Amino acid sequence: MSSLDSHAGSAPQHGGGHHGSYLTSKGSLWADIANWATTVDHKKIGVMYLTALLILFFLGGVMALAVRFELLEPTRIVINQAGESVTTGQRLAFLASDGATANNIYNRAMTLHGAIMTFMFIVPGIPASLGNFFLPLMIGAKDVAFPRLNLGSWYVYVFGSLFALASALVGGIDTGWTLYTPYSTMTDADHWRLVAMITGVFIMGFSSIMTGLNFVVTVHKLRAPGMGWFDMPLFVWAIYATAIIQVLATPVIGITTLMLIFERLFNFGLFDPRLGGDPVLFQHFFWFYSHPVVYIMILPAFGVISETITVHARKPIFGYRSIAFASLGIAAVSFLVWGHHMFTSQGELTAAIFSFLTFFVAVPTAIKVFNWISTLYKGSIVFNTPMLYTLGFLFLFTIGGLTGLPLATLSTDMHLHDSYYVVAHFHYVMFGGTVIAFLAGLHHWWPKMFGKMYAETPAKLGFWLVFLGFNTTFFIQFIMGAHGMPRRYASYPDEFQWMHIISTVGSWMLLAGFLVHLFTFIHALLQGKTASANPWGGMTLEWHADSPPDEHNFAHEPIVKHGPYAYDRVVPPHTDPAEYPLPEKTDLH
Amino acid sequence: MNVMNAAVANFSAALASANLQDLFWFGGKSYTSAGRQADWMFMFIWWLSVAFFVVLMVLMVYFAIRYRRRKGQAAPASPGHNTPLEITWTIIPTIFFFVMFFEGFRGYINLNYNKVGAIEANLMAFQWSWTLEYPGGQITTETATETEGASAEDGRQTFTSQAAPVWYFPENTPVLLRMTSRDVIHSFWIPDFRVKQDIFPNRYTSYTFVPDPLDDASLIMEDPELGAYPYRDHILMCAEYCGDNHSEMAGLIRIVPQEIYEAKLEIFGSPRGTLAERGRIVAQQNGCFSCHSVDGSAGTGPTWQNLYNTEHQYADGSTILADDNHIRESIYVPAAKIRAGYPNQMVSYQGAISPEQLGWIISYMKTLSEATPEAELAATQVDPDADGAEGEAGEGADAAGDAGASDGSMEGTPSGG
Repeated sequence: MSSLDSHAGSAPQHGGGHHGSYLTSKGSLWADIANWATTVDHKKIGVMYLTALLILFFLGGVMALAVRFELLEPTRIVINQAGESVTTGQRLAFLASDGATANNIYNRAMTLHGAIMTFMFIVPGIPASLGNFFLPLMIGAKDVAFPRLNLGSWYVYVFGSLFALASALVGGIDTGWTLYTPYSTMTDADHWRLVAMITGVFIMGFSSIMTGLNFVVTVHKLRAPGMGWFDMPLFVWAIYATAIIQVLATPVIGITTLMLIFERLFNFGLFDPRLGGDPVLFQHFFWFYSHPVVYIMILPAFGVISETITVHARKPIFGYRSIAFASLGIAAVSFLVWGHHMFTSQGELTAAIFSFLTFFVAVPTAIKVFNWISTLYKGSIVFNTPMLYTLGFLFLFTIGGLTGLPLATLSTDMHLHDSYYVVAHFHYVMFGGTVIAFLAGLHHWWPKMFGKMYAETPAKLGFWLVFLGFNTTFFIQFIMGAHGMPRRYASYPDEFQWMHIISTVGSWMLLAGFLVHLFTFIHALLQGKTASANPWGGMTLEWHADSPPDEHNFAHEPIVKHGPYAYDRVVPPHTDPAEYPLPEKTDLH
Repeated sequence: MNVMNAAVANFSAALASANLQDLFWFGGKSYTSAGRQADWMFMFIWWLSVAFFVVLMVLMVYFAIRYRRRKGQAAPASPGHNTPLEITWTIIPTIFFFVMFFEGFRGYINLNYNKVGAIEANLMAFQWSWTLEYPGGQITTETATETEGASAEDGRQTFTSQAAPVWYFPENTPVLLRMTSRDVIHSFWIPDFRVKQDIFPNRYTSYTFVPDPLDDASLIMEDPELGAYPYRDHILMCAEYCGDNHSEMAGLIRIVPQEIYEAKLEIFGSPRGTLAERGRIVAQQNGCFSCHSVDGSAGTGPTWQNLYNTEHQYADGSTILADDNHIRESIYVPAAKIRAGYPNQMVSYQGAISPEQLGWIISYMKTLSEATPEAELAATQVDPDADGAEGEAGEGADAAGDAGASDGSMEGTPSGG
């Protein structure tokens, strides 16, 4: 049945110890630690990335909860019974130490949330964890092209993160994750925290470039025999497009952070107007990286959704080529639209040009959504956790995309820029898009990664908590922003309080949802049912490997004889034909 | 931040009457014609998005239920692509996007076009307030504390340390603000007018608006000097993150009839009051109160209450008496001596505050302190009761009286509240 030169006979499919699995212990604990610390296996590196990412996601999440907690109440000066004026509503004030005000604590929490979530979690996110693990498997390779470089990139990433977190430990920075000059060159003048944070970002950039380079070469050189460009799974296309942006855009943030460090330490006068510099120049540099980086964040999510929606609807993807080309098209246009972050800080002509170009990113993105929904047509759709997250992604990302239109339109952006509307919009894209897709992918590939099934019922409960919690937290922020609530405010007019309370309650629901997921994942590792090689009946090559995969992925090099989504022609390997029957032949294709 | 409460009364009213349409409408009512054009644009995109979203989600949910998995039953074969359909769904959004771009650009020009014959005022932004100079060189002497604080309904809430300036502009007349910043980047946002514009330290940017006539203004100001007149308040806020008190960098634009505007400029233009009163106004205009409180509460900088003529601990361990020359140094060379427990954050006001104005500020600070030389003298001579002592010291009593009056208005403390 399988189109592969399959190793089905050589390895047990169900249970049986996985003596060749990459997770097999080397004997003692120390041997295991040494083995993992020096491994060049892309799967182990993927798991190590996943662990580091989840820790940082937790830290960033704590900061988010702190921010929402502070915003439960505005700052008020109240006259008490004794006639004294008392400041209330500064809920984070207990963290304020010598020289810091309560507002300052809020600003630091808000900055750390942004910096951790973007630079340390969502940018490396899916490519470094799921990408590292599944890219070689999906193209039938033994490993990435440069395995040692891959391990090096993990160490560089961890080293850079520690640098940045060290800055947080000694008090953090209060510039916002965007580090706009001249505020970032003036604040905390006698402290090194800012330099430490930027140096961390600078170092992490190398990790990003190394991973990107590795993936580009891997996709070009290591595809299994018979796998042409248009036989690649769409996840591979998405990671490939992402890798190209990583290689091309990341050096820009490297240069920018370096210039900012020099500005801080040696007063170069590049951005500081007191020294003849131009603060807007920094914004151009910053967004020339940080806009493409939005697509480093979201393209892998598109890739994940293209996989989960086909497998769990058992349908060939609708419009394979248009999705693949849309990924590349988005990657190309992403370099031309950075100015739309700066409509209120530049001239009319520039604003018009960037507004115009921005709409060109919207077209391929819209096409992808149409394609995914069309894929569901005449499918065989199962409502397990990955599929729920996939449908949740389509719901949330569509809102995220559509609410971006008034931000690309000049006359409406003049009002919405830097308001809570923007905060809601990019959370719908980054969280409702990328994080939700990450969770879809994590559940989808969990059996393959660890050889254990997660428990479906609590995982679904987790989904509903996350989905409802997310909408409770962020939908109200669209309305808040349109009514005049600026972002990055530690306090606000009383009128907004009821909306802030709803939002904060939503953040607690999100916390509950993530705790449920943490429980299901730990439970799966400890007591989960053993996963078969192909529990979902997937067609892509990773489902030909064992669960968890053998140390060298495949017993024999696979030979590809059909496309990644040929559910209408071939029964996937290792699956029960009664459960996954082949449709009747028609002449539609 | 409670300064904003009166200003966003429209919003509260919408809530109070449970008028949900107002709530979900784009940011409540807009008060310029260009703003209404932007609102129209937003609602066009909004309803278009709602239509697209509903169609997509209905299809998604319908497919998901209609084609749910049935065991042993294969998914029917269906086409992997459909060129006419794909071309259609590429072209239709593209057309809408073009419309959005062109209409948005047109609205943008209307929002930002520099009107001929406008009132041209200069705006200086700084951490964390703003100063606006009218064409005649006048500077407002009113703060939202004076005008709004007393009217807070339950009489309990007052300000944070920030005192927001109130700027008067006539109805139905174009205004052009020429804006720049003294320190970092700020952004000038009047939500009711639907525009914001960043303010930079190394260049000028401009902000234009034509406020609607006061035809439907429901608020009437009872002014003891100018009589009753209709007015409308619009809150303005800093929208670009600028540091600790970013969230308190607010102000009020008050739209009034032309003759009231002129009368107000007359008042702002003529220096009046005692030295201490003038000092308070100068301090407020320079944003001193965004860091320094006058009621003893903590801020980014030390409070001015009981600061004058008192000894304080400094970061280097020394103890210094805050006399006239020490205050002068602290304002002109702020980094020279740093009070213990406070960051070295203040910028020099050399050039911004003239020596004459500095004298006024010192006079004002003196009224905030119980430790005046007069009080000390009185305490050694007569009776240790401070109130009595101040009452006997002629000049000191005047100053203290002034302080009482301005203090009350500064904090907006309700009398007997």
